[in-house]
Amino acid sequence: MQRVGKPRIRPWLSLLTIGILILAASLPATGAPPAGAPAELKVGFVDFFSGAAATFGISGKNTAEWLVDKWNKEGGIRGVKVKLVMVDEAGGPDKQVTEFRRLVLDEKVEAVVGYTSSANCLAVAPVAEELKVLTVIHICGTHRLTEDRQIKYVFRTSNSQAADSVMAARYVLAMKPNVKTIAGANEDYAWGRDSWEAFRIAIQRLKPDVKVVAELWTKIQAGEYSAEISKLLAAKPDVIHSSFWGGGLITFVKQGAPRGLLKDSLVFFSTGEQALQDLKKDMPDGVIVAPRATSGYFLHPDPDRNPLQKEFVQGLKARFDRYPDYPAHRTYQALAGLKAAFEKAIDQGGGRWPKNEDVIKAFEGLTWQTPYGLITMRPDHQVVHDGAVGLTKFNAKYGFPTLERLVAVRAAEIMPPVGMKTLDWVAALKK
Amino acid sequence: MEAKRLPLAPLVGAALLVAVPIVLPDWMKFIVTLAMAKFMAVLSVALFLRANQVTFGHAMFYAVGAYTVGFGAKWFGVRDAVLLVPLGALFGAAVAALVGLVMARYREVFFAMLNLAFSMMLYGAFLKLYWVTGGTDGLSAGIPKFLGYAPSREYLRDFLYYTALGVTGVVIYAVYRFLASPLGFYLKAMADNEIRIEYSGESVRHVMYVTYVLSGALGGVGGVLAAFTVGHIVPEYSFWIQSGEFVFVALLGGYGSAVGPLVGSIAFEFIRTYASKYFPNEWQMVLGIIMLAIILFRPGGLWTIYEGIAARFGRREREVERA
Repeated sequence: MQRVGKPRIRPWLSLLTIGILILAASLPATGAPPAGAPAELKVGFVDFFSGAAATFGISGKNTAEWLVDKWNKEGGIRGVKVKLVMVDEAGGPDKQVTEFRRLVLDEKVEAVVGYTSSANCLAVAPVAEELKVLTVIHICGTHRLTEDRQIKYVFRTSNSQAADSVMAARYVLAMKPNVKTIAGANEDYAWGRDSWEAFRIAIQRLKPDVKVVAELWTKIQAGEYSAEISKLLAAKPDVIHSSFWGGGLITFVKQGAPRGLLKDSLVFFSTGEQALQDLKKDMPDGVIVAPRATSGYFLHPDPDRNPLQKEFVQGLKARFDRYPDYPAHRTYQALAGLKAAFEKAIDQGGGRWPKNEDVIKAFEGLTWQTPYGLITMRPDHQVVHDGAVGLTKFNAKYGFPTLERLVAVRAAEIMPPVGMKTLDWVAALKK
Repeated sequence: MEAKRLPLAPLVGAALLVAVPIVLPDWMKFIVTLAMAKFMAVLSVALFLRANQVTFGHAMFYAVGAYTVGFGAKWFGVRDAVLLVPLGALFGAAVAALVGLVMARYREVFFAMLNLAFSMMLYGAFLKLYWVTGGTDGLSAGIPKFLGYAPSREYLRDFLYYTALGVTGVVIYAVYRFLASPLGFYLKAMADNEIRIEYSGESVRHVMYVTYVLSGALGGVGGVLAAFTVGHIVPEYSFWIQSGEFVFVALLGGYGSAVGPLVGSIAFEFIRTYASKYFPNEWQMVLGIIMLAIILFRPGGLWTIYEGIAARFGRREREVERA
């Protein structure tokens, strides 16, 4: 009996062991959701779907939809599906504050992601603190968000705008060490003023003999720039700095390029990467363009070697017939950060669904993966990441200009350290 | 007979408003607070609509009130709502007293456009003086105090709500008295015949000027309350779109009484919020369709729905009395 029984039991035992092992290995992917988890994780997503800034917002919205669909197919956040509640950012801060309260108190979202306009992110931040809602700011660039007040529930997953300007100053000096004269063409409001101010101070700190020969201020999205272009052509600056964006930038390039503005001077467009797919052949070669101090670009580091980047670039192209631009990447950064924070909080809490406070704790100091590399959330709720900047060159393969001679700038060179105010830091820049 | 009976509908309305924070969820309390703040600015537009004058610039007084809060917090550390509400009224009235010197001379399209011009000048100033005003980034209103008392976060919204409700009551009463005064009747008469007003011994310019200063004060109060409710102040407070919204809401609610604009403001905020909820991409179009419907079917605004019902009941009662 025993002799017969032994060989019989062994294969069964090993089969059982293998079965348990397979089950255990597949558990994290397909297992039951964490204890206390909601049926779905509701996240508000706010961006411009109408008006002049919709070029940014639609790109962000597309990314958000694509990314969340992908996650949900893969099982969501530890088995909990994500549901996006879309809100249009157009309509002014009072509408945004109303909508934010509705999202939180009526729709009962667990987190809000979004806000492109500085006025809106500044208006919403105190409300997020009041209602104690985890809020991830994805694009808004004003340094006042993280420097003016203590924030606990608000996180920003991208560099502030000073990074663009300082990066531009460093790139310009590397390309043209003997630059003598600079000029600015910016829109007359906080974003344009702050962008130019940081660029001017930074370049004059790094090279004190640089002179400003023209400072031009236009209306937001003016649509007609012939007078400014004439003035810039007459001033003949070595370098022109411009933070024009969206439709205004496209018009400026279309009006300025035929008159040789972009050839006579070295021109820097801080948000230029976003417009390349629309400008196509209208954007001349050799213009300095940055994806607003984003750590990469749809061709950089390298979609062929980097599976996450490849999936992102090809996924968006296939679904929306457009390659990801920087608002797309910033949306990815923000949503991926939120997901990573939830997952870390679940792991730290022993597999239970986390409370708001746990996610916040997990978010501080969190490092997570984005298509262009790892980024880390600092304790002051501000992400600091590398920047990329390059020169335009028409690319027949894509049908629009891509970036050549790309330079990646280290985070520490373009953003102030924790606890230091941006303006103090720019004013004390050293080579 | 009429005088003895208590006006039932306004009492019911007031009771409902008092009960809002207890009955409705928090975000609706916020919407009604904001609606009451904006109502005062809408009322300032509605006053002129009674005289058949449209203004596309009354957001300037609203902005003056809002920036009173912003600068008060930024420069003087003043965050007391009870102090800032009259101060906003004062500044609004002061600006109106100045601008009104010009405005009282103009009517119709000139009145509408000159108001627009002044408000856009103010908008430009808020935008350009960005080291003072923060440019488009705007100013923070800070957390308000009430007679030196700083309520905790849980009760802050209730304090704001009841402050706004109290001010709304005072404003409705004041405007009601104004409209019932000879000046108020002259204002309405302007829509018919200005020459007759002059013949009867009143100066039309005087009527316009007094109304203008009053509307400035109303806008200023609205701005103060809106700034505290929203918590953030931006140049858009004086942008023409904001002025347009006030005209829109005045037409939506009806400008035949002091209460119509309140109905309109509350309705507008809810319509806008629900339009955003159910049509996140087409919410502006929904607003347009509703406005179109109101103009086509209820040209006197939502308030006339109530008036129609009240009139029908009134007639029935009167018929009973007669019988």
